[in-house]
Amino acid sequence: MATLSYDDSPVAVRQDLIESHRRTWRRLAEPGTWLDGATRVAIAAESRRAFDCDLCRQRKQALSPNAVQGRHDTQGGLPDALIDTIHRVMTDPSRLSHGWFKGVIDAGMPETDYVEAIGVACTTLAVDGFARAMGLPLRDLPEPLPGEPTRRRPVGAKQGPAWVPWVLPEDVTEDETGLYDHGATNVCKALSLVPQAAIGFFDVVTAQYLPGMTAIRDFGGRYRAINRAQIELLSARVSAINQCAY
Amino acid sequence: MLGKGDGDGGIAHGRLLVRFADAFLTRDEAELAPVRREVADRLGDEALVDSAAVVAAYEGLDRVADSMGIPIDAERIEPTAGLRKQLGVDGFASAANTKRP
Repeated sequence: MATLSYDDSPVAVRQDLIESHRRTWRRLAEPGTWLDGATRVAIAAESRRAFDCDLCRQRKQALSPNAVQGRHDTQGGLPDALIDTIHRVMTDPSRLSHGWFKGVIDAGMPETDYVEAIGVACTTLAVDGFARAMGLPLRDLPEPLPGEPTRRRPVGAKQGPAWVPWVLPEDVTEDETGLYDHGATNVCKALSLVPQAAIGFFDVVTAQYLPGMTAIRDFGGRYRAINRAQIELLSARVSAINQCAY
Repeated sequence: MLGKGDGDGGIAHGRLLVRFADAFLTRDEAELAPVRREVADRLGDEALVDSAAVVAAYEGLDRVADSMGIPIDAERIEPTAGLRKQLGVDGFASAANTKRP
């Protein structure tokens, strides 16, 4: 497997960030918990494709995303329901609703597949977004590796206030070691039904945002080349434009 | 919060960083390239890397939050209530999920 690099960047990229992205690409190619490597890489490719999808563009402009029907511009190779899920999450996330989610699950997508797929898509988006923000081409996706998913559901997973079941810190077992190494806020719990999805996603987030809860709580500390106020200004601006109320 | 106010908002290079985030979210390299150069020129290469890393991380974080229907953490509801109202955050469509206890 080719190793991800930023050797083409005119600006030096932090080594810890490069290492995080390399781990991410390695995980992406491997069989996951519920999805095999080929499906995971196909989801990553579809997450990229969504931004050039004409149906998604029309839905984004419509008063209601459900008012526009049609077919997505797609890479193919994934079930239609999964393609639609990925495209909606990528291109119009603020208008996702509990009713829409229930429809996806009621139509047959297991909650575990949903969580893992979104973990893959959002982790890929964070890596891709870095390249795009730096003016670099998107990194080549890895070749999928053979093997079977582990299909291990956390025994402590239970329904909470989120749409999907999650694992509370007190219900973590040895099988989920490392799940809350970077904190246990609700956004950390969001992917916990598939612990490896959460661990992988927050590997990238801690490399790109702040290195863990100690740093997050240390408002006066300096962990990056921009200060904390500048970091929070950037993150708040992105979330505001994305209309993310969380 | 989404207005076009002048100034840096009390944060060093605040206006430039807002322009960087805005240009990034347009997904239009023609808009982003000049702002990227300005960030590198005025804040330095390392600051550009870290700014790029943050905006990209939040693209993912926002979508994880919205697609899982997570509520705001209980300990954050009361302290942020006034600010959220003032900034209009409660008017976002996704607030229907996040305001639940």
